[in-house]
Amino acid sequence: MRTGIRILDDKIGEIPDNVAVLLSTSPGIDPASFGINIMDTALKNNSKCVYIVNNKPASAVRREASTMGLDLSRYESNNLLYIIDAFSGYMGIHSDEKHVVENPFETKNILDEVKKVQGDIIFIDSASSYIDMKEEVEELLRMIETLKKKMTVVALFSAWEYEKEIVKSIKNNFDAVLNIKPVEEVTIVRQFLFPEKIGWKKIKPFAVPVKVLKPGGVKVYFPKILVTGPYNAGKSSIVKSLSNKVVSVDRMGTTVALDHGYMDYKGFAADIYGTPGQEDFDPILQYLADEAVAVILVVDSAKPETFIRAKDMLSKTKAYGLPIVVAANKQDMGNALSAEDVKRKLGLPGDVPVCPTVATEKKGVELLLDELTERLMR
Amino acid sequence: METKSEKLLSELKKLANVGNIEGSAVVARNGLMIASDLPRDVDERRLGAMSATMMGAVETAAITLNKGTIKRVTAEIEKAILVAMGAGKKAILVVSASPNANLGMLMVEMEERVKNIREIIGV
Repeated sequence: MRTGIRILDDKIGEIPDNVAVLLSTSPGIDPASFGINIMDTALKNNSKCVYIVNNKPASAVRREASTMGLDLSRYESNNLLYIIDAFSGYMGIHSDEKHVVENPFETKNILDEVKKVQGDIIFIDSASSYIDMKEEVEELLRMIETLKKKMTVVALFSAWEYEKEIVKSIKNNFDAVLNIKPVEEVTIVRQFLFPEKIGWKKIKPFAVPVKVLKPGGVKVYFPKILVTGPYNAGKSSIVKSLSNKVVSVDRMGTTVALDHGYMDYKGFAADIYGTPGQEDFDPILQYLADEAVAVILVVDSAKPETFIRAKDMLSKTKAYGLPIVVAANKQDMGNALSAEDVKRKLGLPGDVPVCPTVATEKKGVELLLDELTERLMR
Repeated sequence: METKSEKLLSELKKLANVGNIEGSAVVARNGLMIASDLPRDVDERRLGAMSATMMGAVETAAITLNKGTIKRVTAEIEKAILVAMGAGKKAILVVSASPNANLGMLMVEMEERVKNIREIIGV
């Protein structure tokens, strides 16, 4: 199975059968969104899933999935997904669910209910609530050992302030540990996924920026990719061709404030900010460019006289040091310079890729995106 | 311990209790969304980007006029009033209210919240 989260999947590879994965999130981040997203990926790849929920009604799981734009009902009606309610019994309330553990205080009852259904992967939402209920950790670990013999286990865990020893013994008992934590940046708080342990593969430490988009689900997410460049280079067309949805504030075809687009490409999601090109707007460039994670510089390949302005915009937007890719746009013009010539004339560092594009026809945009995402992954 | 985002959200929730306010957000001056309490059908990231652009543009206009700094930007829209107010160096508070909202009351409330937001963000 795979998690459906790009970069993570690329680096940790296929998750083997019969392993236990701990998905641990810092307080304030709901692990269920991540669990549900991984489950949705598994279901789409024809794995059968079981989802045990003990800390909220089963309907809350379906609701969370639907806010993420995922529809679980068709899997449920085709017996590809079983949601087991271990919450109602714990709360002593009535349940209309098909699969209910009447008395979840006994682990055996949970295991018996699981035996009645079939699955390749089982999700436990949540392991931390289970520990809280039992007030000890051993029984959870035994349950996971038992389940692991039959299927792959994904346990969701809210990392409240448990004793260090408890956390250590939990983590020791899992084949893989994935942590999702908030990271405070200049102004915003981003979420990153940090693999702490991958039992089946040697990995170097890395972090994946993630966001739960509603709708959209879990994506590798970059909050700001800047598209800049001289006047009339085709920045708005580039933003449009990169984006799934876009809005432009323009007058007579010239951007006067900001183009804002949203891109979703091969598992990468990003908000795209397209700046105006005219110098009159430079004062607001500094706001728009601040905290960008990457820059796409768009130039008109037929107007090398604008390249000085292009480089000036890179320094005004403080782009140096960030990943930069260049769109050598308007390749359809008779006098357009080749990408190699644009690169030479711009005189940017050798590792900055220059991609030939015709943005209005979406030509070359995919290569541009591949170069960009490749750099964002580093 | 409450995180920064939770604290900001509880400030925004206080605004939700004020009559005629339909949504609010703390947006970085660079357009990124810091915290929001907006109706579900609102594209919050886009609203953030555009509010910051609006604020930046008016600020530039103010500097060009040589008439000091801006207190707030108010946009009267057909079915809403959109108000943006600086909340420290890094952020702005954006509020969307119904057109019949009492503007005076709205400003007083926003200024109260801005004080707290500045403290929470710390710059």
